[in-house]
Amino acid sequence: MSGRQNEPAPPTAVEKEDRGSERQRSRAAAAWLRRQVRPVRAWHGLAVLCGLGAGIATIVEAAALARAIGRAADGLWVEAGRVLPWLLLAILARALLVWGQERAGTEASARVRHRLRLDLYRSMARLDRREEEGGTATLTVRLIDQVEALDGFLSRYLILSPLAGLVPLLILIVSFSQNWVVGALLLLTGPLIPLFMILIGLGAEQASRRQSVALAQLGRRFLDRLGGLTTLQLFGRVEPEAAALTAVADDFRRRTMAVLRIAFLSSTVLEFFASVSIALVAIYLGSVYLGYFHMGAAADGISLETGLFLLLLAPEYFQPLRAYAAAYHDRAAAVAAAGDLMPLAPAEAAGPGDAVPTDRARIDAAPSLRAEGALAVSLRGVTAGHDGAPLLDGVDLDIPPGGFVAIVGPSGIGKSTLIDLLLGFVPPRSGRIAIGGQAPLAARGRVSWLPQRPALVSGSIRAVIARGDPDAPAAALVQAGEAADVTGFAAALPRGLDTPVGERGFGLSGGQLRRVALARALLKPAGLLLLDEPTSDLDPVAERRVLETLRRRAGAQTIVMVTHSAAAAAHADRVYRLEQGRLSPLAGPEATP
Amino acid sequence: MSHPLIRFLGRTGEGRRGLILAVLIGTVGVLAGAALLGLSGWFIVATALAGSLASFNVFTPSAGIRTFTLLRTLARYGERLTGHDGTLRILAGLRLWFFRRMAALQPAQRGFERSGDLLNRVTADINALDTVYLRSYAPAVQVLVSLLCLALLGWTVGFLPPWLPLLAAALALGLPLLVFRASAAGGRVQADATAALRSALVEGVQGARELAVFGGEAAAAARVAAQSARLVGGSRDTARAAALGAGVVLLGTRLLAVLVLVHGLAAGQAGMAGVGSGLLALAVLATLGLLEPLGTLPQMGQSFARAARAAENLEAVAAQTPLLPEPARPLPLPPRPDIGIHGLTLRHGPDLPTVLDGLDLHLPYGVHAGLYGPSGEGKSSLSQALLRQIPLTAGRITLGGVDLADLSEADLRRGLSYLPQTPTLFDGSVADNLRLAAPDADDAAVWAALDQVELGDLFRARRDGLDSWVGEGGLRLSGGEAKRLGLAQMLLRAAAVTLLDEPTGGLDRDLAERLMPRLHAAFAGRTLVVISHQPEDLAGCGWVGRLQAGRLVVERTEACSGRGADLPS
Repeated sequence: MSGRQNEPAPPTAVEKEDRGSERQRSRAAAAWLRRQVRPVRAWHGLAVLCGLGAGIATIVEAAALARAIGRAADGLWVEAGRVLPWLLLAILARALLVWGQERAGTEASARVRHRLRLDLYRSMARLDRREEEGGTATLTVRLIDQVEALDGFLSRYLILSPLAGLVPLLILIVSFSQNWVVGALLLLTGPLIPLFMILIGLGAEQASRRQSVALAQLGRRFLDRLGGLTTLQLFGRVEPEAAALTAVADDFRRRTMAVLRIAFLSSTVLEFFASVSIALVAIYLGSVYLGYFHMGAAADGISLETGLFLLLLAPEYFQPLRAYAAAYHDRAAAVAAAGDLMPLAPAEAAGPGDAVPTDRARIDAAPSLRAEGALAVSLRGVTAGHDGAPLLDGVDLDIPPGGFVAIVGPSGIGKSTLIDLLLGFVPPRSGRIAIGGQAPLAARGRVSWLPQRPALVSGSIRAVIARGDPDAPAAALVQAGEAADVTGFAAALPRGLDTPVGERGFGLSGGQLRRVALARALLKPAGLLLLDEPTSDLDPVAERRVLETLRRRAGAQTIVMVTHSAAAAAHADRVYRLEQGRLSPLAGPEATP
Repeated sequence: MSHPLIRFLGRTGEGRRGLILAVLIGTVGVLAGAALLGLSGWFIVATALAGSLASFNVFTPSAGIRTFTLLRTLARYGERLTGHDGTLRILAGLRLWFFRRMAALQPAQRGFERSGDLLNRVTADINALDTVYLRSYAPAVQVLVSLLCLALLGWTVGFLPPWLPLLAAALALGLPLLVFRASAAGGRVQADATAALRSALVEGVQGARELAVFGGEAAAAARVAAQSARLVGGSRDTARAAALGAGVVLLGTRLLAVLVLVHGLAAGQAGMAGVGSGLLALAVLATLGLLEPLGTLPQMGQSFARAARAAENLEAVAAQTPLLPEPARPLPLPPRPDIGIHGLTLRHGPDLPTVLDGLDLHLPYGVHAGLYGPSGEGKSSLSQALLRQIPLTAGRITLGGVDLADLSEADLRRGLSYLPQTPTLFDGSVADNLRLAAPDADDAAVWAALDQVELGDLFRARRDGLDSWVGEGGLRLSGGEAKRLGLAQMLLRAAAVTLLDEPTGGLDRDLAERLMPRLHAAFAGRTLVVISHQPEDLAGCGWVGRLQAGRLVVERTEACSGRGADLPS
């Protein structure tokens, strides 16, 4: 494909407008993040306290070192040695406190990440989103990688940001108490601290946001092409595509560097002031010692010890700011991740379309409730789907216990929505649904289901089927396998029914996987069997066998089958066509071809 | 045997120069910083002792202080810029290397098609490698230079014991090792837990509705919780090591500075010649400055551990030798490529069942053939074998009498095109996707192909027309629409031999019945092989065979002799 895709284009007016709302979004994401952090406030407090303690220890250390050298300069070598225990104590305390700061920060981060992930999992598992939305990759990226991406923010940034204000303030106070000129020097060179913060903040955040967006685009393109490598190979387009990837990456690098050249200036300014303040302090003190001038000095001048102390403090004054600046990208990364995570979070998740069944746990408690026979199904004026274009529009349907109904219609017309309604995953916008006289949610324990794309397929073939009824005897399991035409192909596998299924196991074909899921659906003792395309991907022989099984099941179980296949529909008692939100009876079995 | 990380340095492409530059500039910055601190300390003590202007040359040291100040600032800026530039180049170089490596392999060896997660994992691994050189080599060089300077300093001031730099070196060496080992252990737990968590999440979220119907939600949630706890625990171990490292580095460097102080004091007390407090201040402060780069070592150990694991993972994927390498001396594709299959046997593994068992087949050029059979009975395997994507267990396949294995990759792909069951759409416009199959097709040809598959109106109705974005972040095409776009690709390609795998899957019956005759007309004179589980799709085929239990049963062979037109060479 041409090299012009995915290029970060120069901002248009629309984009500039977008940037305003983007800032709003990022502010909302930051606020959400801070709410997540509340439960670990104690750990964060501890970390900040440790950091503050380490700052104090640093001052003591500088004082001890200055005294030792100062005494030595006066020729008092032994007195100088007496300071050593203090020095060692300060160093030890500082090392311990630094360790404590990191440990506490880590602990806070670990706790928040774990809890947040579980919250998000619960809400995602509860959202009952349609299966098409969010592939495996998106899901795991969000719940694993993006939650982990919060680590830097949680364990470092949140601690370094108060310390960047507190520790310099402490050092400033101490410096002023020793010498007002040096204090003023620090105050002038550094303290534009808030100004620095803004400088770093604006420059770094904007640059890092723009860069991370572009980098993500670049990464997506790479992922896209790498994932489709087989197609590129088949079309003989590997090398042209490799060249295009290189060109895009090169172009991206050039643009990024142009941005960074300016963005890095803000941190360079910080570096510069840090260096300059050391130089200025040294030159000022030297000038005082040489008698150049006396401003800020007491009548007897400044002692060497005080001078050294002030000199040692100067770099420490800037250190917390530098650490904060270095951690700043953690915030940008976390805000970006939070922007994606926030919509999934429990509190914000409940939109009008995603009404959440709350009493699922109760149903889960009795999963293997024995069926008391086939269930009647009744729909009265059921409407579902979006406001403008309802997928179902006042549908009425009555199925007697043991009835076998097929529903046909073009794809995307709402057939799967109907199944979602019958399972109680989605409430109807209006109208009533009763299964065996109960609401769908309450009846779910007695309803079995073959999804269009089975997802719960880890473990062996046997284990997948057994989920239908964990208490079923082995013979019943094999029987269900036979009914769904599983045993036929399983016999050819070296490990038979114990063959592992799924991503890492033996690659079962789509049709085989569906038959395994069908066996599971048949095994569950249910009064209503919902089947979403039970015969798609099946060849005619397998299809016939499966349909014959269903025919035999009808009567003992009520069956609702959504299908494309004319052959499948021919096996049902009644066939309905779903079109423009309405169900119209097609014919009985005698009328279908 | 070298470490994978060192081998990867060879694959970083142009980034290496920027990297070396960044390391050098960064080292200058560190030295300037140490010199600034040491010189300032010495300056204060010396001026304090000198006491008057007359006896002191104030200009040289203050000029030095100004120079070092500026140098340090500029060096940090330069280091950042060159480092980022180098990192971006390295990332591009590594991606290109990996892309080409993967392109040389067969699909089954890559395994991406089966698992989107695997794909995500390798890209995460590549991303983990891009900064490791900056984060580990740069500190390593800086620490080394600093240690040399420390030795030099010791030799200059005279009162430092010679083992002091060695002690510093031991600290510099032991520290990353300490963190590396703990991080590596934590990282292994993290990698393990991530994989387990991933499958628990997929099962719990994608299977949420099945769990609701079949039970087991609580167990699924417990699995997620347990794996998340393990993952967080692993990162906690890693962070614990880093915290320990941070504490130790602080303690170590400061204690070394104290040792310098103690020795200076002892030397001064003993009246050692030339040891004044100015020199003492210089030595202590410069030592602190020189040991500053050690502060980056714990982080280096951590990022090294992660990168080493990433490098190993990538090598494991990339180091595979292509199952079916290109022939050293390829033969040209004959103009009338009859398909010949002779005694073809396929088995995907030693303990797996035989998929095809001694298959023989001759399809003259120009025939339209249909192949059907139960799912999972070898139809897909046969097409993979024809596409030279899997090795043959026994037998051979020829195109126009030339063994498939003797054709060059370019010739093979030009002569043979394939529509997979689920066609891949790339992130790009419709035109981009279609021109992927036929780079030279003009707009008229593209529209004509779209109209053939009845997609023309869909895109004509859109503002962007052929530039409508499909794939991720674009127009979401249904499975049937994607299949039709794939068919349009086949039409534009017009290869000598075209294989269609389930061409009507996901299409309505009516549409399928309109499309199939059009395809037969479009490919008249060329070979078309239609693979389907629906016999209705094969109505227009002159030759029909059924695959069952690894055998081929020919059901129809009308007009099966060379109808093919000669290809333009």
